[in-house]
Amino acid sequence: MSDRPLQEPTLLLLTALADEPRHGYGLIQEIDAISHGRVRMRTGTLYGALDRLLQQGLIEVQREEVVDGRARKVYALASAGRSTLAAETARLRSVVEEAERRLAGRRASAARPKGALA
Amino acid sequence: MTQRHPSRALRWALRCLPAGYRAEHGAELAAIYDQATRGAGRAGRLREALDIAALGLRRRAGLGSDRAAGRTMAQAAPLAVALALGGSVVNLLSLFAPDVRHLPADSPPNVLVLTDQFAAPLLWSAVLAAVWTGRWTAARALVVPATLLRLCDVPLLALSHSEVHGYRTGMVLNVVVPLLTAAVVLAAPRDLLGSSAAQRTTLAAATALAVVVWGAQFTASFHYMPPGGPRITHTLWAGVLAVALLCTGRGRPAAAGLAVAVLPLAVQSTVPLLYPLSPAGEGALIAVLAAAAAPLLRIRRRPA
Repeated sequence: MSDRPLQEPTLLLLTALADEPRHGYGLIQEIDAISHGRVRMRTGTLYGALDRLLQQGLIEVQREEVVDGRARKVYALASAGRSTLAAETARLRSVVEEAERRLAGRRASAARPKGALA
Repeated sequence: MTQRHPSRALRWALRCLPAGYRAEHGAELAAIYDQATRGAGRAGRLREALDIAALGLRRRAGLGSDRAAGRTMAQAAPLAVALALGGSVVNLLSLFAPDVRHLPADSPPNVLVLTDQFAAPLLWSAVLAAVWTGRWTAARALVVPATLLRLCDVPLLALSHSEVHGYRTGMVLNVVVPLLTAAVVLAAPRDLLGSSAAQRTTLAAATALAVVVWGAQFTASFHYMPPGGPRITHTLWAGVLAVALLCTGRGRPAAAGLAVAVLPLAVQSTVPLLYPLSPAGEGALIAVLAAAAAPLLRIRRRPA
């Protein structure tokens, strides 16, 4: 994997698999919930992303099962995917912390009386 | 399952998948489609089926997001939007260039062409804004009317410009260039498209590049230069393409994206210089296209 930030669909997919393995439609539902309804991943887009993440070794097929007479795969985060997600989380956290620090600094300077020394 | 027999839209979409891929994944895709469209209206089912069809077409073309070519398309898509916006703005500005274009607004076709030329930059600005903010679904939806607008110019220009020297070449370019641009934006795998600070920087750089190169061509159109002057500026996009292709050979994916994005503009700018095409001109054009195609085909065959 490159050290570039993950695109949002990839980040959401890895996040959806972080706590437990899921099947295709379960991933669509989970991404909808994680993004608070903002991202509605369609079937073809999901499948294209799953193909890529499988090829990159970030996820793996944990098992195949038959439900209502139809075969489906259950996907799980591979160890490389867990590392990638952890690295992306750390990167995002550092950005958030820096943004919060700067916003707090700005609020403090705005609240300070005019003419007062720091 | 409530829906045991696939709908017509789904059957049609599954047919777009390569046979081997369909045999391996078709049942699972159908199952996800059934669950995802439960309770959805006809439009919802059609959108879902179109997304599966798009997956199939990308896989057939070797443009899946697990392929290097798919990644290249994802790199090229935002750049193509920025460059298309630049082109539409210059196209509008060229209306004001003396001795470059004569479009008297005295006939319905000319009025419609003029309206298109004012509407196109607005539409492409909306596409760029959507790309900038990561709203790719909206961006790709807007690319369709922006492309149709350009294609509408073809019959209108045929009506009003049929007597102009070289109009047939212009007509062909008016069809090929917008379709190439739209193909680049629509073929990029959706799961690789997003919005990041790095991507916005690239987008700003591409817009700046478009302004500089199109600006040079525009200035050359305004001010008559010594023989060769304006023509040199018309080879600038071919120069950008050549540099990008050279860098592509050194394994730079961003350069490959730039080459793909610039290709329609290089065609648009350089083909008129070759008109009327002599056998030598045709040979040169084929050589240029083959040189451009070779590295891009190598990318297409490479896994990500």
